[in-house]
Amino acid sequence: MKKILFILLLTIIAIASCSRSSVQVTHTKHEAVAQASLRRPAQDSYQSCQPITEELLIDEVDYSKLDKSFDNVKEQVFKNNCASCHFGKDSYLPHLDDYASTMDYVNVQNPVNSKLLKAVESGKMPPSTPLSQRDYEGMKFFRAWIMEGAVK
Amino acid sequence: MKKLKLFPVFCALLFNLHAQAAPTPVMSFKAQGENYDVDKIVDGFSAIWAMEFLSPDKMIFNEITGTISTLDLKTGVTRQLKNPPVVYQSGQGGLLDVAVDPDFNKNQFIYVSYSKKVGTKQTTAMARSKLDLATETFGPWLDMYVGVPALATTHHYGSRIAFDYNGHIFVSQGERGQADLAQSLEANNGKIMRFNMDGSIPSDNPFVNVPKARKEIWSYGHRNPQGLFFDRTTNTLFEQEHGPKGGDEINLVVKGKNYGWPVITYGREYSGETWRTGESQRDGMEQPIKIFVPSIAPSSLMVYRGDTLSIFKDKFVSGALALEHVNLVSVKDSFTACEDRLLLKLNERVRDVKEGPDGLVYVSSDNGRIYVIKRGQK
Repeated sequence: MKKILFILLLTIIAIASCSRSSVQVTHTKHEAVAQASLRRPAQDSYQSCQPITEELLIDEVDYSKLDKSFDNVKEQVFKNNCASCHFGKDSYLPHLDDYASTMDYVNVQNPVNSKLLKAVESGKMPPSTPLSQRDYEGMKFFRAWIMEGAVK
Repeated sequence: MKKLKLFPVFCALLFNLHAQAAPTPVMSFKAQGENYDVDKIVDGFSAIWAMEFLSPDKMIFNEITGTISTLDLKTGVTRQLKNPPVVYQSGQGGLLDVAVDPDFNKNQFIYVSYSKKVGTKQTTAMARSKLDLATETFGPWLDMYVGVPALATTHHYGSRIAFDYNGHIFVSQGERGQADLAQSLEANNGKIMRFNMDGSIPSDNPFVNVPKARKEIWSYGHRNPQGLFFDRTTNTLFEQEHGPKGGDEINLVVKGKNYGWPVITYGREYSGETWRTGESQRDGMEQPIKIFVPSIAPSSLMVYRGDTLSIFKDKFVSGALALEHVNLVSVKDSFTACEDRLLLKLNERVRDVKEGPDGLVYVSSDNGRIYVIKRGQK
């Protein structure tokens, strides 16, 4: 009986020792991650060095005075927001500098289902900042152009 | 008769007036009690990836689509140059950087970095040609560098070019979307390369004696370096790269050093999850001197050493694509140092920034425009 109790005691000590070492390993791993986390800055660490006041000297575009034509959409909306990826004949992306190519992504029969409108209104394009935030009036102008038949 | 003699002079004056494209003031800003004006001097192009100066009065600039033009800074007239390099424009690729040889007046060499089609795949390359200004034509283009391996991806090409003004030229290349290749010395992905001016490999490059290593590698462990600047004041090479979310960096580049990508980074997955191991430091890997949280998506880098515009003095100046501004950071600062952000109201992706021979700062954008920042009139 004493032998059995002794073996049991040894087994308990061995298990406790293993589990402690396991805890210690886990703890060390957590510590490493925690230390790495401590070195990582806050999610937004941007701080301005000094106050800077900017003043725009150019007028905003008055869309109410523009015809809803492809040329005006291209000049005022596409050029300012899409040109870096979608202008240029060699690009494999949709060519928004060309009316015929643009119309491949416009559904004249069912304008709200136009791929181009969906890409823009979902905020997918432009990828950095949604058009509605960059140029709200331009966004409205672009939408109206598509809804009214996307004329050249 | 006297009037007739003056007629050609009158015509010439009239012609000159027509040829002058007056700069358009678009913005002013005030900082530290000083006023600055921003003029638009070029418009109507696609994304202008790079600008350089051929002389105090003449700039050369290129579009991502593959054209290279000159701009006469006195008249505002642009001229498209003939026989540009053939580039593969797709995704983030196209005609990337343009650089003017420090001895251009003697040798007329122009360098470009670009995305090149190799079989069915593509890679980053650097080529050189002689520019004949009289005929506005490039001679044959000679590839000095073609990165290996070429990949099917169309992003993270880098690329910028810099000179050390001591017989060497550097070119940066992104990891092309294959992050682990940035740690392999057998690939050019995620590296900065160093060549002699004739394209040969310098005997003192760090890995010339390492078996299987690419002998042109100068530093490694970079993600997508789109800023590269050799500061002649301190004889230091600086590099700026796009990181993952919140991991954009400025690095002081030292021969043979490992800058850690993708093993360590201060960025996160775009989902917000921790990047791989979550490590931002590890022995044998270099720390950035500046990180940007959140990411600004930096393109181009310089240190302004002029005296004309005090707000720029001795600061890193870079373009921000995603956050759409000109970014200023003190050279002495590190990691979470404060920043100045200029031209925010233009809402344009800033692609390149350059200090002109006149001490003014020139800014190009993905909207196909070039601006100049100068002292204000007010």
